[in-house]
Amino acid sequence: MKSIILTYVTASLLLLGACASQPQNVAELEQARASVASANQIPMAERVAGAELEQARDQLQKAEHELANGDDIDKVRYHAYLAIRNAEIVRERAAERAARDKIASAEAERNRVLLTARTDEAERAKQVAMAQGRDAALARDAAAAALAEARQMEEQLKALKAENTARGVVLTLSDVLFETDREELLPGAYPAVDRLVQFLDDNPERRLLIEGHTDSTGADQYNQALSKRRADAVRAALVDRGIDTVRLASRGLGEAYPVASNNTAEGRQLNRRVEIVVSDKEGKFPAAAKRGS
Amino acid sequence: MKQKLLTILGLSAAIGATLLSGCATSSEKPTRQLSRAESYIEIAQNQGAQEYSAVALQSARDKLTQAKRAADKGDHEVARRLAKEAELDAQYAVAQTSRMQAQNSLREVQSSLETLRRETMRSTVN
Repeated sequence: MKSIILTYVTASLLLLGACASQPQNVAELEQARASVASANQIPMAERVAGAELEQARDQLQKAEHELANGDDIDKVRYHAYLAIRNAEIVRERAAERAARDKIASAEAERNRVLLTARTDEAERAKQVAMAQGRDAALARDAAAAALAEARQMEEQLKALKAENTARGVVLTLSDVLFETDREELLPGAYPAVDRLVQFLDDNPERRLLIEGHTDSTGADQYNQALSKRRADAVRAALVDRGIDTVRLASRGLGEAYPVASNNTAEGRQLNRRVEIVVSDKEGKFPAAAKRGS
Repeated sequence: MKQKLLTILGLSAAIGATLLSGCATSSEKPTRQLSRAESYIEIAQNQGAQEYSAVALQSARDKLTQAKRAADKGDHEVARRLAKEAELDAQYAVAQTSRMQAQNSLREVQSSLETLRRETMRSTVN
């Protein structure tokens, strides 16, 4: 009986101790105070987790009350724990929101960079297009200039009564420009020589091949020599007027290349002539020009 | 002596009874609280808390198990508190998981922004 009574008393005192004796330091409560205080410091806490923040404050208040009232310490711990968890949730939500805000601004920045890059690219493309446009304009101008040059040359050659033959551009000075059996140029040849000088001045890259021809009258050797002297006379007239000798080649072809019959006076007159072959722009004569000698 | 002892006994019994009634207030099994905790644990798992908030998730599970055990024993107040703690643990696991996932996304976006900046810088120089 006595031991039963003692047991009961002990049990009651233990219960009393469990519920009533309040240690001033409850670890959970300390932590809850700190957690809630720091949650209160978070500027966007109210906005991102208002309900949880309120819960945290309420639970902490309950725990403080229970401690002050000398309530069950487990109850104090319980409410303190809930306060801690709610405060932690507030902290996590705020951190998440901060991260999401940064994501939004990083994405905005990314779009801005992309837009800038595209704008720059478009600008570069525009400049390239403009540069190409300029190149095209230059090319057009060059082509037009080349065409004009070609037309001008055509005009000049026409004035020289030049012909486009298989041997290239060939012009012919007829024998009436020379005295019979003589190589001196008659004054009547000067206009033709002046036009040649003009042509050579305008087309500095071109060279001339001057060929003398005779009819079949007389000895071959004589005719060859005479044709050479006449060609040289034309060459000398051009050199006298300032044309560089290196641009002028001459040769005598005698009676080997008649352009008409030697049986008639008219034919023989056509055969007595000086032909002038014009080089291409590179100063070369087409292969077909190279005949004789 | 016996008289004195009986007095102490009576007093203690009275105090004990009062304290007991003060400590254990609930009488019904906290079925709703238990299922709430269970739901939040499921939400946390579905969000990937196993990867990002394993400790809190495990705490929630353990407390739910204890809560069920307490409820089975008729210890309803203990069961209710444990279930509530389990729910808060699970809610915290959800919040922590979301926060870490957001921070991971942020790192990805920032690194892709850096890459983009480097690329456009290079192409501008070119």
